[in-house]
Amino acid sequence: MQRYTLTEYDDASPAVREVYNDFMRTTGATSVPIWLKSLGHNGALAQAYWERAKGTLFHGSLPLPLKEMIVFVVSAKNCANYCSACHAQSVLSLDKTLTFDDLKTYLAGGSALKLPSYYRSVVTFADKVATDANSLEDSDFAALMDEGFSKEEICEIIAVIDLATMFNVYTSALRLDLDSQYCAIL
Amino acid sequence: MMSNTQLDDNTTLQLLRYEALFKLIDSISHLDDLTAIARQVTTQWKYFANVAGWHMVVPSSNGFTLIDGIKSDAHVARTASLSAWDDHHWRLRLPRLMAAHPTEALQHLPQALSGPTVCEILVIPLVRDDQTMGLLSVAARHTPFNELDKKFIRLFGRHLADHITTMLLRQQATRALIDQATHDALTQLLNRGTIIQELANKLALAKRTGQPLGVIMLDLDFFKRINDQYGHPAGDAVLCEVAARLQAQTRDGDSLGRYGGEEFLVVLYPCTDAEVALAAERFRLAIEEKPTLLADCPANAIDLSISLGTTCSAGQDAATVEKLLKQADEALYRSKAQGRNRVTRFGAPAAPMSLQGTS
Repeated sequence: MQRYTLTEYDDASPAVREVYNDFMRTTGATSVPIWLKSLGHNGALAQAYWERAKGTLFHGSLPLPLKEMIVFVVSAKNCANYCSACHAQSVLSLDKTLTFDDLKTYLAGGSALKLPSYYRSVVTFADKVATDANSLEDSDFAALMDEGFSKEEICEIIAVIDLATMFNVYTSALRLDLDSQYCAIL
Repeated sequence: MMSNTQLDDNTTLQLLRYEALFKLIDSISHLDDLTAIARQVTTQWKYFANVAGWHMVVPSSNGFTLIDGIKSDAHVARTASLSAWDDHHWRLRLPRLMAAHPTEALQHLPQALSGPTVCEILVIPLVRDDQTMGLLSVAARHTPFNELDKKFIRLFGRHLADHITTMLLRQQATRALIDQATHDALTQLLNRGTIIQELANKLALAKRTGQPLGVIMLDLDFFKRINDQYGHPAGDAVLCEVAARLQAQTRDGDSLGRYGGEEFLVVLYPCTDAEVALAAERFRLAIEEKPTLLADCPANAIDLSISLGTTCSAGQDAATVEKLLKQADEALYRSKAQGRNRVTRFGAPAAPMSLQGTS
């Protein structure tokens, strides 16, 4: 059973269409993704989810590829198929020869990806937060600060983890189908 | 699996470095505070080069500006002379790459370049047209710098040194222009317009807080005689000497300005009527107690004195700048009329004629 309805661009209300337009302008995408179309029946909700994603991913100090890696780590931890595929693509674009399995190996502590050392620290931190935010110690923060992260940047890292968790719950509960451009990744 | 070298040269990774670099250059271009710039740079280094800590020296007026950044913190300091590390590398003017030993610290190493994760130090002199415009020392975190790291460090280092030098020059020029617009060229005290504005600002504050404000107007006695007898250059020297003595007696937070040719104005806040009188007497004594020696005619020691008029805003709910100036001026006039070299408080009863002192 498909658990959701999709509101296509042409059928959307003016308010929802404006949200769709802002998404495409901000991301450079030429189509609206399934997760956003699934919210198209409710303009306020569509705007709320998009504004949260926009503010977290497209503003701040952290580079976007790092944020995408964070979302991927959390999504893989939560077995969120839709989010894992969507955000893995950005990280994989760093090297076209890599596969989704290489990414999963990296998360498991393998060395398939030659990324700056701070990626490893952030991945470890994100994994711990996704498992249990209450288990964080001051030493976890100190480890990130040793890598050069400021408290403001660590706050942004946590905001991205939180965003990912929110979308993991939404997309997994609805069992959203993958957009066609992400099917090939898994 | 691709080799590390191939991945290091990966075009996409280079593009990510450039993106991070341009983002940082854009964000610091809008900042006018050096410490804020230094903090941004310290946090953002890692996104385009493997830098754990950095130390930069840039020439500035009266010496050098030093910037240190490590983890997410940065410090800016000014110094007249270079440290042993900076002096050695500044003179050498050659790039240097040094391994950081865990047990044997490099001599005179700046603190920002030390730490348990540091494995290598790179020193880059920033030279343009044979002039050293700066010195950048950076520390590598965990692994040695690769060629891309060095390339981006050099690229950004030059830009940063340029940016900081230009910014410091611009700030210096702005300060000089503001000084010129607000200060009297001869005595370096606040000029007439600025001291009146100070009075207006402090009066507004006094009304908000309910605390009283004091005004002293003072005038150099027989100044025309000094000019006629010793010449205008000597007259200017006397005015500078008087200004310096008055400045030495002015409290932090109070304002002193040159109000006219040989007239000065002091604004004191907060200040009661009694405190104004004490301050005025202090100014009077500072001028009277020691003669002024003219540099061109050391034998000519000129005795100086000033006449003062004071007023206070206490009890005057409708006080305005104009009223207070008029009151102080009237009190000053009475000091002159009663023999000069004295303090007169506005509103005080007329005192018998005497040579000096407070009435």
